[in-house]
Amino acid sequence: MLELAYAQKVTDTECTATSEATADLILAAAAINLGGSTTIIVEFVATAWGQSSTSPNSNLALYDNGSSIGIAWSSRSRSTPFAEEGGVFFRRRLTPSAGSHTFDVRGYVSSASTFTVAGGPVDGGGDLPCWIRITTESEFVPRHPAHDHGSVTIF
Amino acid sequence: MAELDYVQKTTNSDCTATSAATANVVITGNAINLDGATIVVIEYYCVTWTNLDSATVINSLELYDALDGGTAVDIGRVFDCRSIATLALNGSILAAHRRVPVAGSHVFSIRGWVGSASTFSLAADVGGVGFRMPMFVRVTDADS
Repeated sequence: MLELAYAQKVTDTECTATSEATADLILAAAAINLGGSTTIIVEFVATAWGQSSTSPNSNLALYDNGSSIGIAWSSRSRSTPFAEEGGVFFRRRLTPSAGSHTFDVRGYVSSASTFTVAGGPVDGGGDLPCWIRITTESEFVPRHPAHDHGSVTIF
Repeated sequence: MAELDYVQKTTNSDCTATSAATANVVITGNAINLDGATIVVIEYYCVTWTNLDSATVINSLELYDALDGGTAVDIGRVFDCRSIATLALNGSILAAHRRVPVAGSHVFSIRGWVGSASTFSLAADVGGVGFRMPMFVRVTDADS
């Protein structure tokens, strides 16, 4: 497994946008250049989240070069205000087209409210940073009985 | 870490079975051949989930393994939770299990069930603007 990009954020992010199209940026990874046949994993982790209301849905979407490629996480809050609701995680496996790709994570709510995604300093106590990480397999090793061909380098 | 298998699903899965033994298939991986010494991690992910009928029922996922084309056997429970409220979204699920399977062909599947009559719904779609991302089951080799 190779790490292609990693970015972290050490402050909370408050998301108040009420649509995916206007979602608030949480953090972006650095641009990566891909060949068109590389399968990658994009993952996002935050230690906690909160909401100002228990009725809206809070959402995270993953963007590629400024366009949403899908809703990656959705939840309602158990309690308010801004109770620590536990970790946030998503993972997406995909094979992007050839070229430069900048992935970022954005948040929005289903009705007027504030969705907070936690982020804090490393070694500072409290919440650790939220982060986005992009990795790839150095080799794909098919082990399907019907077509066991051994290793195939994908780069 | 090498990826041994990946299967995704782009439609919701509704589980109404009321026992682990009769759990509804959510997603099934491809057959993979293992040598009895390989450490694997089997993981399942979905964007969000809910129970359509209840906030008190426990919603569960089991990991099954069918060895050498035989009947799938329940390896164990990988997820247990009540919904925040009826029909409320509850955030993502990442269930993962590390093991050294015996030598042979293995087909891993994720199956869902509920503690009493209700519907445990796991969300998935095709991704893109306004659509949830697919759910998936993925097997990786922890050693390579």
